[in-house]
Amino acid sequence: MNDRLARAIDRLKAESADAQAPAGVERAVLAEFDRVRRRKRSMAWVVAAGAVAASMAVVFTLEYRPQPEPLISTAAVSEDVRESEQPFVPIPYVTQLGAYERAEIVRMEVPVAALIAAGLPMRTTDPGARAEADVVVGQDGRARAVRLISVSTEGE
Amino acid sequence: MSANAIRVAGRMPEAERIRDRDLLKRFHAGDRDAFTEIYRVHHKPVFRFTCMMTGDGLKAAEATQDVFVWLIHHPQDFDPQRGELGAFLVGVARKLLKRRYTEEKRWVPFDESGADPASPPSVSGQQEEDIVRLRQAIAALPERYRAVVVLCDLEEKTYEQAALVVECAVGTVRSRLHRARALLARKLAGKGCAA
Repeated sequence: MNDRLARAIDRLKAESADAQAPAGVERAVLAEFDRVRRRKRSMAWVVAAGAVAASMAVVFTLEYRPQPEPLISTAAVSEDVRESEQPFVPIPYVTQLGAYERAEIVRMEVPVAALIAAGLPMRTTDPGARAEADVVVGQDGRARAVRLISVSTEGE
Repeated sequence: MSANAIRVAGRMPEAERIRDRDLLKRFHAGDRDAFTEIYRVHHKPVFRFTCMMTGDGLKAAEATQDVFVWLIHHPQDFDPQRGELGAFLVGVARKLLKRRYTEEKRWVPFDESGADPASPPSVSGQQEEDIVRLRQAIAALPERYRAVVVLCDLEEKTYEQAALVVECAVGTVRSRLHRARALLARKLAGKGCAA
């Protein structure tokens, strides 16, 4: 670098060493900082309120959703069973009877646990209870539907 | 501030680096005082850089404001592993100025007979005249040369720091600086130059 340029650069450097932005810049920048911080806070409140509302909705849904009524209520059956009012309940996941197929209705005693295992919704507190039921048996010997007649617990 | 003081400031001591990290951490947590401190520590070099790059105090103030507003909106963009906060902010300033130049190029002024934005206050004497010429010459340099002159010669940044700001190799900074000084010397001597 030649001397004249070096001297000019040094003087320019010294001149501008104390240069600083006007005070208005700092005020404007800090105002922007405050604005952004306020917005972030309000966003945080919105998010928190949303989360609370969502969790309350989930709790409400789980707590107050309508309970599916069991197709067969053992309590009701044990008190008053009238065959004509009890419909046959198809056993789930079994091929239904064909229109041409013959079927037999067999009255038998089955463990309630077996009915539950077959997918029938039963409500009983006694795991060893047994039920008297009419069972629709197809030509192939498979049970297709069940009609509950009565339930007896082990104590009875 | 003496040249030596500026030179020392160019190579940031560890204490200042730690201070900046602490300030940034608090700033990220929403601490207003930390941000104010960051502004007060770093706005001067940013303002000087933008002032030299634009040759206009008003534009420089606007650009400085833009830099710190940008920092507010992008607090996570600075990676302390990659360099110093001061150099990073100057780099942001350079990018914002480049964007502004690009936008301004789309508009043609009606009247160019107004005051030259690079014109300094009236001065007298050979040396003062040299400063005036130097300001004008710097303002007339192509951006890539102007940036390295401002960073290396006026802000006393090292070649490595300047390379980080202008995002090029150290060798490129050296060659640009050499070329820029040659252009400035010609301007100062009253000869025309072709960049």
